[in-house]
Amino acid sequence: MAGAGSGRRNRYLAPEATRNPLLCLKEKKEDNSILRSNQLRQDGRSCTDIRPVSIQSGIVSHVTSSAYIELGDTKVLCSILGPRHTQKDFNLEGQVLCQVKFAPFSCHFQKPSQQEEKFMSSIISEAIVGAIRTETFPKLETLVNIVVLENDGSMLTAAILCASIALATSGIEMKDLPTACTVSYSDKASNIYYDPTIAEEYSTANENKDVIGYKSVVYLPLLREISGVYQVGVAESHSVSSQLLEACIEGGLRYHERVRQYLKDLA
Amino acid sequence: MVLSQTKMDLDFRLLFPEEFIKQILDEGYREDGRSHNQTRSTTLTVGSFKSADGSAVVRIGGTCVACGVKGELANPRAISPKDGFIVLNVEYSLVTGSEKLGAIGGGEKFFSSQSLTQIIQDIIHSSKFINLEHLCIEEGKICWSLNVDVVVLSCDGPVIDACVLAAVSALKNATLPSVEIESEKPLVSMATRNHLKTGQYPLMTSFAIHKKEVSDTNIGVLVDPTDDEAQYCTGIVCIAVTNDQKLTGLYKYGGPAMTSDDIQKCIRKAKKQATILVKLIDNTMK
Repeated sequence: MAGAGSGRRNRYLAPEATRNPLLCLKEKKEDNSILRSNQLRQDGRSCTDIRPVSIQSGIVSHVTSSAYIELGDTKVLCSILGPRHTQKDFNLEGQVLCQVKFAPFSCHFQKPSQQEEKFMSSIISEAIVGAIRTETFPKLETLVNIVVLENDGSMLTAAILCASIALATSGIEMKDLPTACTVSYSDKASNIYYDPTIAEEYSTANENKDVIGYKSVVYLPLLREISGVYQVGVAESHSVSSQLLEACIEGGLRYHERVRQYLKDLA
Repeated sequence: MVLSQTKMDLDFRLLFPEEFIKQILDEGYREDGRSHNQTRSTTLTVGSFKSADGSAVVRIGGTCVACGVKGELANPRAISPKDGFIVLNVEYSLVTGSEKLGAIGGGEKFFSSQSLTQIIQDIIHSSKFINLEHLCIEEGKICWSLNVDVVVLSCDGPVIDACVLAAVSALKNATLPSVEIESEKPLVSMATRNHLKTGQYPLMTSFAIHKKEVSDTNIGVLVDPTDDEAQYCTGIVCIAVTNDQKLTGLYKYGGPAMTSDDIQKCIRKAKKQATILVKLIDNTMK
């Protein structure tokens, strides 16, 4: 969609052949391990601790509703537009369109490509649409726009939580409040790290051999349904993958409690 | 003085927003109770995005703008081997809902992201805020290229003022790692970081102008207009003043003709506002 935010053609471009300073480091980082000797992570959390959550709603003007969430240093802003008329084909079910964009300065290394943004949008869209009563706004569409201002790991969790808070405050009828959790894990799931930071998340460029993958699960707590799973990396056996799934649900319920508390205080 | 809003007022506001706003402006009031000469409170936070080398978030009333600066190593142009680069871009983020200029959601009536980019780039360069030679690492070989990205998160009023303040504060907040050259290759050490050398910086103040219906010759000037006010006023004047009270830019778009007296009044107000913003920046950067 050629609109604001996607206008990459209209940007001033950086000079050719620039290099990221992180590629020319003088001193290589030696300590790559996630756990310190006292079994705590580098930021002092234990493996199952999640980072502090901060929520604020209604900070964008002239939209139906909006929410802002911080999980540690991960910052995500979401706004809801509509329900409003659509030019698209007639449909008795309301349409929910979800778009995710990363701010140009949001990533330590490189901003994800447009394809990756599209992919993230489709994951989030499929995960939250199950919780919305789309039959209550036939022939209309609702836009869920998400902007990642800083990605310090668990971005998918933050985006889902942010969207569900924004939806909950928008007055759109919902069946459930989607919640999510991301975990990264080491070989044979001997260590499961809840709410990983970007350094603890698995990536192909990561020299970190301790973590071999991560998994994000979107969970609908009241319906007891899993509405989305996204996994990167190998899980050797059935028991490992179910162990990860349980960990994600358990973490998701913790976030859910926090979100519920916020909405209660708001009301 | 805050208007007491009765049920009838609210209905009138809903059905005829343009008439409503024009009428109360003519009577010398504003919807949020400010006087014509009063700005909204501005808040500034710096260094909140750790993924960027420097960052700032600015809120003016309901307007919210974030800016991040990221440094990259680049080869200088052959025509100016001593100069680095500043690549500034402004974009309306998805969350503002302004898919088209001024369409749904909070849309700026006067500025597309491209014109914002151009104006801000112009006034930052013309006020000699950053000398590009300071971004040089080795002449003709390697220099810094600063990507300054301003993202508009919420539009309610003078987006351009917030963008300038955010870009300036983020650049003042930015630190770059030190670089050594060893056998033609740059070596970056993250441990030692230095602030940029900055000179005088620009600050922007916007005014909406409208013709008063009662007398044809008079025009009304509103400082720091909200989105609704800007929507129904016909013109806008943006005045850039440096921190040491020099005029660096004046833009007027549309609206009734102004006398030089009117413009002088605006410049005086802009200078006053600039001293407030300088204090804000100094207090935040302390």
